[in-house]
Amino acid sequence: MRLLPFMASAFTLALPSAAVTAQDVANGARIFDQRCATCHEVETGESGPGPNLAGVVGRVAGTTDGARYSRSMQELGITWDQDRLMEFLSNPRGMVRGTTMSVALRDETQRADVVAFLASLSDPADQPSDATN
Amino acid sequence: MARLTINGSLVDLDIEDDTPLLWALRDHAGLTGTKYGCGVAQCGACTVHVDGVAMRSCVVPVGSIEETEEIVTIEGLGQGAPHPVQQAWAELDVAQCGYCQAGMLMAASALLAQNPTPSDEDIRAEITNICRCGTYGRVLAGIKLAAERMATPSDQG
Repeated sequence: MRLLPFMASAFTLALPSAAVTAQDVANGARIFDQRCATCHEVETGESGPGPNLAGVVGRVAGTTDGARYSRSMQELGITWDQDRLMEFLSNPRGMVRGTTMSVALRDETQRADVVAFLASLSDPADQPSDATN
Repeated sequence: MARLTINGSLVDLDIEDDTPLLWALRDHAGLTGTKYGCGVAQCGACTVHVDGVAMRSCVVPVGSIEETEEIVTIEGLGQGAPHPVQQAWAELDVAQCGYCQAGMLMAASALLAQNPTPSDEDIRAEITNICRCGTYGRVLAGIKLAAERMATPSDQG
């Protein structure tokens, strides 16, 4: 499936939590496809209705180039880490009043798997450039 | 090929993995209660439950659904007897043209399963289905009536 190239590079990165398995990341990719992929790209670098999420873990909220954000998200002033993503995804509007992100992952296992999947994605800034020098 | 559990039955559908669930339900499983309104998850007419979670089926690829995940459509709401939201909808004449209402009922029933005592603000925040006829006031009343009923079970239906 189209997410495989990113997943292949994921396992060269250290997965932060001892409890996260490859199966969790794979399930996270499936849940991402089910609930998130219609608005959020993770490959091409383009943003659609939602910001591109490649490299979101470690990124300052509301700063992806070319993405549309609510004012609330632009003014949030936090850096996404796994704990904050877990909180956000359990109830986006509860954490960021005024966000246009409306999809909540209430099941904690599914949420953790999706966050594990997001954490496994390479940051586009780390990708080798296509430019020939 | 997609193997899906829909309203308690396991079905095999000869479709591609990227087929959105809405088309699987309507065109392949013969369940036309779920409606197409926009195709881009903005209107909610296509709302179904997957393991109790309300989802807009027009953007859920069938390949992302495991056969152990239970899909419930409007046809499957209220096993044997009307769900309290359906009962409330009938009593309060919530529907006008009715086109959005299957989605409304699926969103409402999922909300009440997750939050049995929603405030008006909770209901307005969670039920974002669009209704061209403007039944929003009655939808709110219907959900509150259903919530009341569900909180005090009686020997009615």
